[in-house]
Amino acid sequence: MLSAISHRLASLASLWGHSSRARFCILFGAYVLALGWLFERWEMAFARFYLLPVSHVATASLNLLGLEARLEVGALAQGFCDIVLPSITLHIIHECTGIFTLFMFLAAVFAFPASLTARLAGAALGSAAFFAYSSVRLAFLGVVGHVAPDWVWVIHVWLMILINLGFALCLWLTWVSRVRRHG
Amino acid sequence: MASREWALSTRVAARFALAVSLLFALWTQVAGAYTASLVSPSNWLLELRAAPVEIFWNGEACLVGLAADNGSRQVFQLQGDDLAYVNLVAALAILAAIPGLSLRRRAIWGLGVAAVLWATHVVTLYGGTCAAVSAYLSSAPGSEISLGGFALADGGDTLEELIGRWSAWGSPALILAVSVMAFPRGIWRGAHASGA
Repeated sequence: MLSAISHRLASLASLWGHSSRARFCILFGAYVLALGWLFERWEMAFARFYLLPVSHVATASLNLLGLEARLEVGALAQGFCDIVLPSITLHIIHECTGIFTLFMFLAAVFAFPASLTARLAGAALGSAAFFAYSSVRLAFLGVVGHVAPDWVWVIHVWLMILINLGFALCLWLTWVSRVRRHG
Repeated sequence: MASREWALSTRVAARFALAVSLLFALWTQVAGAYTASLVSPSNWLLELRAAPVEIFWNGEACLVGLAADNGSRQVFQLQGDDLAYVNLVAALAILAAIPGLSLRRRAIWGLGVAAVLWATHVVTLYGGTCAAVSAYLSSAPGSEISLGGFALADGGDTLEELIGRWSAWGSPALILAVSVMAFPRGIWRGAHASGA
């Protein structure tokens, strides 16, 4: 019985050592769970240090485009804020900032076998890229809401659900290619 | 050197954008049929629990019918269920954009991920219906609707929370994990050398 168990454990250890994919999957799942726990624990901090700045940058961008946008932050404690435009109000919640997809990207970066420096660099640059992408995406949604309100729903689905994952994967692939080339 | 990496990501991004555009256009045509395909298995799951609840597809939306003890029948519409299924488009577009994958492997992974997501969508529709029934019963005037003591409505909030977490975390994580698994072996080569 004991030898069967130790044989199984040895097989698992061998799989862990040789199958990058299996190891990636297990670590990816573990990191996603850990990041989920962190988010649940400090949701307010994520609202203050990610949702709010992204909304601020999006509002400033809309103002630069001359759309007279203003940011309502009164409900930030409840986890959302509003970008108010003359023709439409965008209700910004965590999902709108792409933070969950950013967490997926971070989990994928940390799960990939690379040096700690490469992982930290990937996480830092990726987070900055996500921040910029999320701000531009919200500003674009504001422009669509101003110009063609009927299209907001379609663009919302496109940008929020479909493009997010593609962006995360392209970013991850760029990082992986760089890691493989430069170590 | 860096331009090579950017060229690769630009190529992948362009392929993804093209695939997502085509698949989303197709999705607008087949979304109804896809949702309809989820109804029967979800009803089967409800039947397993002998729930006096049935889901209908009326060609535009999912309706939920409740058979109360007094013989009356209540019908209401499910909200937002169709939005949850569009991640299938994202998953297939990602698989279409992955570089260096043969058509055969692309098809195999595509069918696999579609089957897995379809199964999760069935469970989501079933769970969403249970949560919606719970919310409906708790808001029913006088709560005079009795379902023969059936416990379907219990824990509706928890169920809704679980479904929300699955949509935000579980489903995208599953799609990304499957996509990375589908990458050709080359991407993993050399990874060990620099691995921690």
